[in-house]
Order: sequence, then structure tokens, then C-alpha cells
Amino acid sequence: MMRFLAVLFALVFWVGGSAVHAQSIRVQASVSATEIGTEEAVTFTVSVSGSDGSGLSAPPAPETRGLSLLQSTPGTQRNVSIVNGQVSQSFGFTWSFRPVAEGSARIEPVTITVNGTRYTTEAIDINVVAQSQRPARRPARRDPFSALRPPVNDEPPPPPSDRDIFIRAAPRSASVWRNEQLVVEYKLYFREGIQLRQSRLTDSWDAEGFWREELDVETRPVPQTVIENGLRYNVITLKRAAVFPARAGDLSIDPLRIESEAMLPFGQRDPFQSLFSTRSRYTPVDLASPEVNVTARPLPENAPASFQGAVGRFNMDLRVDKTALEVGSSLEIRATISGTGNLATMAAPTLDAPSVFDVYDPQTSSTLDRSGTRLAGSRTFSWVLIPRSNGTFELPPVRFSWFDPNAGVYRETESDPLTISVTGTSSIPDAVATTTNGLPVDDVAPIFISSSSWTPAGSTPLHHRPLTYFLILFPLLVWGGMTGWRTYVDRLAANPELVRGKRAHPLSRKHLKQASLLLEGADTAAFFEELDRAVMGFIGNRLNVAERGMTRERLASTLATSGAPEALVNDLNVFLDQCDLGRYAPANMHRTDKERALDTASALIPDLDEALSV
Amino acid sequence: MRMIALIVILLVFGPTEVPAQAQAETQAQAQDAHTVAASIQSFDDGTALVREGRFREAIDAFERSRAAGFESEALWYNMGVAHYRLDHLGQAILHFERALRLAPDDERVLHSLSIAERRRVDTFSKLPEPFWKRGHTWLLGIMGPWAWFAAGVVLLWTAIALAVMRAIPAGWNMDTRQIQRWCLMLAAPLLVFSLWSSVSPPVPPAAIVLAQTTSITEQPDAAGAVVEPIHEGTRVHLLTDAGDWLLVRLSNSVEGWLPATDVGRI
Repeated sequence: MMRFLAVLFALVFWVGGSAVHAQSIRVQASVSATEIGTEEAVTFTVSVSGSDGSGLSAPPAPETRGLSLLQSTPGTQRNVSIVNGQVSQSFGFTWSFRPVAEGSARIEPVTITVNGTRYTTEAIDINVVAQSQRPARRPARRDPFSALRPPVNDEPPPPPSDRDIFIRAAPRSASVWRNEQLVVEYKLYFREGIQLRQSRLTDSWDAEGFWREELDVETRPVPQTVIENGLRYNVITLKRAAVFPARAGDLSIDPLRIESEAMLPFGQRDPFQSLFSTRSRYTPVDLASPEVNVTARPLPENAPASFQGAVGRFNMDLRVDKTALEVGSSLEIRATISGTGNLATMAAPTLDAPSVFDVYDPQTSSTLDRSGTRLAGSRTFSWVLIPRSNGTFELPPVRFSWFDPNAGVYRETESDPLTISVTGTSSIPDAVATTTNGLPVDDVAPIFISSSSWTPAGSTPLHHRPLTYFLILFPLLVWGGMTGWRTYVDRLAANPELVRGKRAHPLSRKHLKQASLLLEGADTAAFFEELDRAVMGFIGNRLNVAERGMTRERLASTLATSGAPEALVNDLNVFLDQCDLGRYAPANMHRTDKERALDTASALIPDLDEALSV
Repeated sequence: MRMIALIVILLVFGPTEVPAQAQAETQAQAQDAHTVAASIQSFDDGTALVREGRFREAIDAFERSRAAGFESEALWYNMGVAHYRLDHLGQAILHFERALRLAPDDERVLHSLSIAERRRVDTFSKLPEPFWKRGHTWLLGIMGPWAWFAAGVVLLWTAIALAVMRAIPAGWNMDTRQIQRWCLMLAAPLLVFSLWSSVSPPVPPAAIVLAQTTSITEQPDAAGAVVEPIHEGTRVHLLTDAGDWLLVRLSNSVEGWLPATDVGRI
């Protein structure tokens, strides 16, 4: 605001002039007015700045349409100005034209040669209206004492039109990224000869939805002369601000409004009236720039993890004041981010220090350069770290990322890792207060000095141990086995037939085994005795009959009753005859006879078992 | 009779196996004694380092003590204190909880755990437990699952022994069926209760968040929707272990998945 007022202050005391500081040759064409009455004249001026006048000659009068030239020889002016010790000069060639009729008129381009170089101006269109539509002209006759007489009426001087004086807002772009820097310049345009005073800002300038930073403008500006639509204007910069959209969407910046008093030079060419007039010739004017509409685009979604909203162009420098220190002492890490962008709202990068360090919130300082046409500078973040234990620690790189609005991409930089060596030891802080149990109020209790109870770590849950299931299943299996065995025994005790049937095979196998042992011996009678017991014992047990003393006839009838085939009974009788022969006449039996008898017995038993089972 | 003979054989020849078993047990005991001694030595070293303020070295010593395969309340507690001094909040709470598992009523451990938990970022409400779960917890407070199981096994074996004695022809002539029936009726619920408590304890296994910040997600996937962001030191109940991911539940009954590397099991 102060800067803005300083500009206006300078504006009040600025006396209109045409001094132009030019560094290079510039040729411009302008007219006194682009709208004139049918009875008015228009002045056409070709100005040449940046030339020392050598090699400069008056150009021919321009071709016109709807205008007539009043004099063929141009009027010439030479303006010399000294600004900051630098001398510059400009030359002007002026022609006057009178309109031929109402309607549109045109002054064609003029070509002028300066130092051998040809320059051509732009054509200028002029609108010629009926004289009645123009403001009343003042008396043509000049009375040197008219200013001393009371005014005939209090008609105020005509106010300047919007084309005579206006404010133009010039954003560099109408569409920016969120948080991107956008510079908005407010420039005051006023026609040559207009004088201003009592200028002030009438309303607070606001830019809702933006973070804004004021940029420096000249406190004593030298107006720049520009040609706009064929008219010559003086231009000064009133305000320059860098704004940063805080959110995406359509945003607007309020108009810049000023109040002032302006004096128009037109019709005030009488020097006596200027000197002796007691009536103010200044007219109040209210000026406002147009509203600036800006579209803020959201940032792309592929932001890196370290991105915290910085938009612009930056670089980072990381420094640490020491890399070796004692436990409990401090070290400082300083990260300086410099560049152009939203420095003022920039968040600190993440310092991922090992937890052995106490890390305090970073101190932040900013250095902003507002002198240029963009906000630039640096922002410094300082962390204080205090190690609580000794050792050598590596601080991981500090990463900083930002969005580059020109390239439309995210960029990231990272510092080199830092190695910090900490020596010494720390002591456990003494508790200042204790509870009723003697424990510190705001601290953990003291450590155990010794431990007497050690147990194996990581005990297996009950349901994961095989022993668990063994302890449950084993007695149940024993119980089941005992119950089954008991049932079996009871069944056998209640059924002798079943017992003999069960014993048939084991007993016959036992006798056959005994006969096999006797096969090699000389006791042939005993051998056949065992074979007879094996077969007859099997039959007795199988049929639950007493085999001792059983006659052949009874044996045959019993077997026939039990379903044994007749052929099998005959084979059995033959076998029993051979056994009798062997028992009572063993001398006639040879080894081959005994082997044959053993095979016969071994075959008879399963045949009998099968036959008796049917 | 064969079984009786077998028992006799075992009784006769059994003692010949005892020296070998005893020798192996003796060796195991000697090995255990050696590792316990190593654990105690490392524990003492770590304790001395804590008193000197050399917390990182103390933690290394405690880790050596733990690696020997034995644990104690003092070991876990002192580790917790060392971590607390180094501002390892999650590790401190985890080790205090481990100490509390071995000594649930120790005032020193309870006090230090409460101090550490004050610095925890997350505070979640705690839902009331149903009555049956409180009863379950109360019963296990009287005796652990192993003790209930041992009681059930004794009753079961008693019942079976009575049945076997009655089954042997030369056994007792006493009518012990009533005693046997009562033993079975008591053994069955005790065994079921102990096994159920082991499979599904009233307080499920818990873990402490060690990462400074992590998120419970809807799926076991880093790209899954975030259910709840949580911070270091928060206690979670473990419901399912899926390797790299754990299904957990917060005290306010919010459930979701956490990376297994972000937590430490109590």
C-alpha cells in the first residue's frame, strides 16, 4: 500500500511532458484525437526517439482519406530530457488536417528514413462526427483579463473520457496451475498533457482465493510513452503483485480503484488564463481496472511422496554445522530452497532423522526479492537435533520436490546422506516427584538389577503339542482295547463250539510243525502219530466232536452230514490207513512215504476246512 | 494275560533304558544351564550399560540374552526402558507388554507402560466385553490352560484306570463305576475348556505398531482402501496371519489388514 501511495504521490507532482528515454530508434505515429467534429482539426504527429537527429529529414505528408491537409510543411519539435543523468531526445513532425465530411477518415502510413533505415508507421482511423455531438468549444477570442473577471457560469470543465485516462490490468496468463505464481500489473494510461493530483486508493484491493505478494514498483516512475489506437499515452505502473491460486477453479481478482483529479489540456492553451484563473481547472475522476479472471488448474496426481505443494523452479542446498558431537549437545541442519515460486507458503521438507535424535520443529526464515518482475528468493529451514545416545548414525537424504509449471512435470532433488558421529554417554534423568509407591510421576520406573526367573521363550500353545493329544487318546484307546478284549473273552466263554473252531487251525498247524521236525528222525511212528492228530484234531475241533475213538464209519457219516464230498472222505480214509500203517509197521515206510503223507495232510486240512464251511 | 506279561516285561527291561534317557536329560539340562547362564550374563551386561546411559549397546546386549532362548520379566522390562530412553516408543511399549505377559501384576511394569502409553498418538474407545468372555478370562485367571488340561487328564486317566482294573479278571471286585462316571463327567468339560482356551483365547494375541505411521487397509494390499491410519505404539489384536499381512482388530472393533513388518508381536 505504501508503495502504491508513493507512486500516486509521484504522479501528483509529475508535470506532463513528452520526455522519453529511448535506448533505440523508435518511430511512432499519433493523432490528437481519434474522434473529431466536422469543424475541428486533428493533429497528426510522427515522433522519432532514440536518434540524435543526424540523418533525419522531414517525411512527406501522409496520404489521407476524408481529410484535407491544412499546411504542407510539417511543424517540427525537438524534446530533450535528462533522466538519471542520461540525456535522450526525440523529434516530432506535425501536420494538421480538417475533415472533409462526416464518417470515417484515415491517415495512411508514413515512411521516414533515419540514418539510412526506413521506418513505416501504422495507419490511423479517425471517426468524424457532427459538430453538435462534440463538446462546446471555448471562445476563439482570447481575452487576457477574462480570468480576472468572475466566471460567467459555474459549468465545470468536461471530465476526461475513458479513452483519455484508464487503468489496465495485465496478468501474464489467464490460466495457471494451482499455487503457480501469476504476476498482475496495473498500469495507468493517460493522454499526454493530462495532469493528475490528489490521487488515492478508494477501495481495498483483494484477491480472494489467492496468496498474494506485493512486488516493487518505481516510487518516482518515469512515464513511458506508448501509442494505443493511434493516440499517444503516458504510462506508469501503479501496482505489481504476484498472486498464487490457493485452490483450483475459476477465480477472480478485484479491480484496482483510485480517485484523482485530472486537468485536461484541451482548450486551455491560453497562458494568461492558466496564470490568473481563480477557478479550479481539475476535474474529479474515478478510475478502476477491469476485474481479472483466472482459471487455476489442479496439479497432476502423480506427485512424488516428498511433494508438499511447492510450485515454481527451485533448488535445494543442505548444510550441517557439525558431523561429530557429544551426546546431549546439538547440531543444526539447514536446508535452503531458492528459486521462483510460492516461497512464502512453502512447507518444510521431511527430515527423517534416526529416532535416537530429538528433532525440534524447524525454524523458518525467508528472503524474498520483490524488485524484479517475478517474486524470487529463498526459504531456509533449520532443524536442531540432539542425540540421546552415542554411535555413528546416517541421516537419510532430505528430499524436496516441486511442480515445474513450465514443463508441467514434478521434479525432485535430494541431498547427500549425512553421517553423524556421536560420542560420550548420557545419564538417566532423575525423577523430581514420585508416587505413593515410590515410582516416578512422569517417568518410567527404574530398571531391574537382576532377574531370577528365566523360562524358555516362545512356549508352544496347548493345542499345537502332540503330547496333548497323546494324553487324551492313549487312555481312551486302552479303555477301548480292554472293553473289546473283555467282550471277546466273554463270547468265547459262552460258546465252546466257537472256541474249538477258533483253535482248529492253530492246533493242526502245531501238529504239522511237529511232524515236520520228526521227518528227518527215525521215529516214524511218532511222525505219523502227529499227522493223525493234526488231521483228526482239526476235524474234531472244526465239527466240535470227540475225535478220539471215532470209527471210520462214524467219521464218514459225520463228514457226509456236514457236507463233505465223498471223494474227500475217501482221500481222508486212504490217508488215515497210511497213518495206521506208519504207526504200526514203521519199518515199511521210507522217507518218500513220509513226505508224501505230510503233503497229503497239509492239503487235506484246508480242503476239509473249505468243505465244512459250506 | 499277554498284556500283563507285556507290562511285566516293560517293568523288567524298562530300567535298562533309564540310564540312557537320564543321560540325555542330564545333557539337555546342562545345555539349558549353559544357555541360561549366557542369557543372565548378557542381561547383566545390558543392565550395566543402561545404568551408564549407553542404551543402544544395552539393547544389543539384551538381544543377545534373548537369542539364547530364555526370557524373563526383567529382561523385557529393561529392554523397554532402554528403548524408551531412545524414544523408540513402539518398541518400549512392546517390551513392557511382554514383561507384563510374564508378570501381569507387577506395579513397576504397569507404571512404566502407562507412562509410555501417554505419549501414544492414537486413542481409540474400547468396547465392553460380553459376559461370557469376562467369565472365560476370570477362569483363566485362576489357572492357565495347561493347569486346566492337567486336571482333566488326571481325571480321565483315573477313570480309565478304574475301568482297566475292573476289566482284568483278577482285578478289583469293587464297584467303582460311580467314581468312574464322575471322573469322566468332570474330565470332559475340563479338557474341552482347556483346548478351547488354547485355540481361541478370550484375549486374542496382540501386537504393537512399530512403524511411526501406517494404515489399516480393507484388503491385504498396499493399494487397498485405508480403513484407519494408526501410529506407533498402538495395540492391535491379531486375528489372522497371512504371511506378509495380518488381519487385526483395534480396541474399537475396527478390523483391517496391516503389513506384518509394521508390528511387533507381544
